[in-house]
Amino acid sequence: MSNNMAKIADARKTVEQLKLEVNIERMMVSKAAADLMAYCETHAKDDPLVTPVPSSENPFREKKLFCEIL
Amino acid sequence: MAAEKAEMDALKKECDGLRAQIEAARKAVNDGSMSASAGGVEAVGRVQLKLRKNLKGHLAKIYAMHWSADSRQMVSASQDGKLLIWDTFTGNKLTAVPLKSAWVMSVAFAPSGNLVASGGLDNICTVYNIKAASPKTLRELDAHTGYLSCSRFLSDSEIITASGDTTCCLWDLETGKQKVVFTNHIGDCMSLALSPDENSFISGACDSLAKLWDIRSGTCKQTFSGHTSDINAIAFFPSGNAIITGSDDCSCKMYDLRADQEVIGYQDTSLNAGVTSVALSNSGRLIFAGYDDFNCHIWDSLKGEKVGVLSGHDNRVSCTGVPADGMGVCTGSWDSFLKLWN
Repeated sequence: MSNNMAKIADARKTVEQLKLEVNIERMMVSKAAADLMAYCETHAKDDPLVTPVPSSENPFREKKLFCEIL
Repeated sequence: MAAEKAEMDALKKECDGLRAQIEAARKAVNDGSMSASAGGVEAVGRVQLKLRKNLKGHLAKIYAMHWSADSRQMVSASQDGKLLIWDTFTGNKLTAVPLKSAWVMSVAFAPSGNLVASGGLDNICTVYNIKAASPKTLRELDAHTGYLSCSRFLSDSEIITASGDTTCCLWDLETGKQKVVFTNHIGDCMSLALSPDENSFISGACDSLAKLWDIRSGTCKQTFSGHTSDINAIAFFPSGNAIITGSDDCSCKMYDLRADQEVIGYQDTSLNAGVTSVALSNSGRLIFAGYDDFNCHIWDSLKGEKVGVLSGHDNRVSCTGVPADGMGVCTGSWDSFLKLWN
């Protein structure tokens, strides 16, 4: 019996949650996509993986040590 | 008995009706795909990153890693029972934190750099002060009834955790108590990510759904479906308006929060391995996705095309991360090594 009550309680919660989610404002996909594209474009020059920085500014490069054997 | 069945049927009908309404509303704004819109965008070309460092030190599978906010230190967790904190510029290990439980699945660095957190099959999120003379346990957050899959610090006094018990939780580190419990997933929560403005977070779970939550109110604001298997990894697009998910169904997806739907999928017939981890480059243009096929594949987020691959690991890539300054990408693997690329 209590198993059914639990299932009903779950179903009620699901309905409440769906009611929350149904009424949001939705943007047109084309506008949303345009915004994402614009963001990528604006920040491309500051993205070191898209626009590589010179080797001297790369913190992960192997630093070459120059040794001479005398 | 009959009354209960009648009520269940009515509720089910109401659910179905609401779901249909949501789908209709999504369809109504679906006036064109991302890949179509991105037709005019310049291609990024082949992305060939070089291996800069191979970090050796762990003795068993690496399950998680997280960059410090300083983009220099990084913490990794392995089932050898240790957390290692690395100076990625030199490749040196700065600190080793021995764990009470070796079955670690998650690790996080606090933005201040003072604390790290880890947890796993012990169901506990343990927070360590790594600035003390030797790492000291600050708190043991013990209330989840399932494994700890992911954690992220909001500050030195608040942390959010995701658990196999299907809930996520916001904890107060001063008291060690739960502040908010986020319940709505019907499968193990596998991953979480904080929004750039830190007012919300997203979670991915084994119910194949991604959910957006309001941190303070505890409510689930939006739910994203489409994956056909567990979501293992989740990340925010840097603008905060879209999310990327990675799944056992071998695909990644981008969902736009304002359009409330999937806008592009990243899959390839040649890729038959589950996605374990995702990370984005700073502009959001590149997605680094770790797969069970031992590689980290690089996707053009706008065009939905594979543009590169990071190969070198001898086992599953379990974790991936890009530091805040975007200078490189770190991959961690079951082969016990971490690799830095740029």
